Amino acid sequence: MLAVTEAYHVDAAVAEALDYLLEKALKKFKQAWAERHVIVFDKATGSCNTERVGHALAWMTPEQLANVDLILLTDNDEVSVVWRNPTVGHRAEGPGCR
Amino acid sequence: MADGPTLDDLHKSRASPECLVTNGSISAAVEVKRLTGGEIERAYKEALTSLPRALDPGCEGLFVLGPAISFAVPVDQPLLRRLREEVPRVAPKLARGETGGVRLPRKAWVSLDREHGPGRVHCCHNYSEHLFEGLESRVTGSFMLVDQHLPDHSFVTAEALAVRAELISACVTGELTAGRITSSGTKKYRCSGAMQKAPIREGSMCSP
Repeated sequence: MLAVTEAYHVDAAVAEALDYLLEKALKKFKQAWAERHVIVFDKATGSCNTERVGHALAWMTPEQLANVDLILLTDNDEVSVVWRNPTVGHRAEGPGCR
Repeated sequence: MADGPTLDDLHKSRASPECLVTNGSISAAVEVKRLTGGEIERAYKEALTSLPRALDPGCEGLFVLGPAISFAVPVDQPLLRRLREEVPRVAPKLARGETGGVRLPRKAWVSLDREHGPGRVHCCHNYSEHLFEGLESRVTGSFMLVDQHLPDHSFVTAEALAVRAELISACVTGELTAGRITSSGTKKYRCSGAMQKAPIREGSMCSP
């Protein structure tokens, strides 16, 4: 079978997918678990490259990402920093920290 | 990775990150998410996996179903039903290296732009005058095939081309009036009423 998808905007699709995953991930960081909170996106498709993910994250407000210090994108063995909290500081460790 | 039970083990009632990592002096809670390209890409990949099974012609051989213009996956149920009829019809007749036409429906509107004056029929694409040859002398007024949603016309066989001409002719000469709509002074005749017996878009199937 040789076929294409319906025409769609790839940037918007990546942003939508990212938004959905980020919402779920951020719920887990409502409390402090460690000194640093890190979200790792494991790239499963060619359309989600560093540039598109970075661009999508640029639409997030600092308040939305306040509880996260670092967002990474992994592509097999390669790891890229796609977002870094400019106000990164030491977080008081919560009950789950060891 | 920090030794011992996971955060989920320690906090079963609360959603917690997947793991804690530490280098001995600083700790980090890490949440990992698999990033796919979204719903469209997911549906596309699923369709590419499931469609070959759904369209198995039930005969020996390796077949390639090539795309018609504006054909995209996933396909809706009516189109899937049509493909399930067409593929087993075409595939068993193909010899190695041969290609056959798979008939698929196509919809467009014929719009009456001007009721009076010399006959004229045109569409939204360039270099398509030959598609309306012989038709203009039979009509009065100006008609447009409203097909801007399609990238171009695609006809693999003479049979499909003839059916298309027949349909457009029926629309512009008023023989086909089902689905007539009046909108802002423009009369429109929808071709889709006759589509079940008049497939005018085709893809191709070949046996490599």
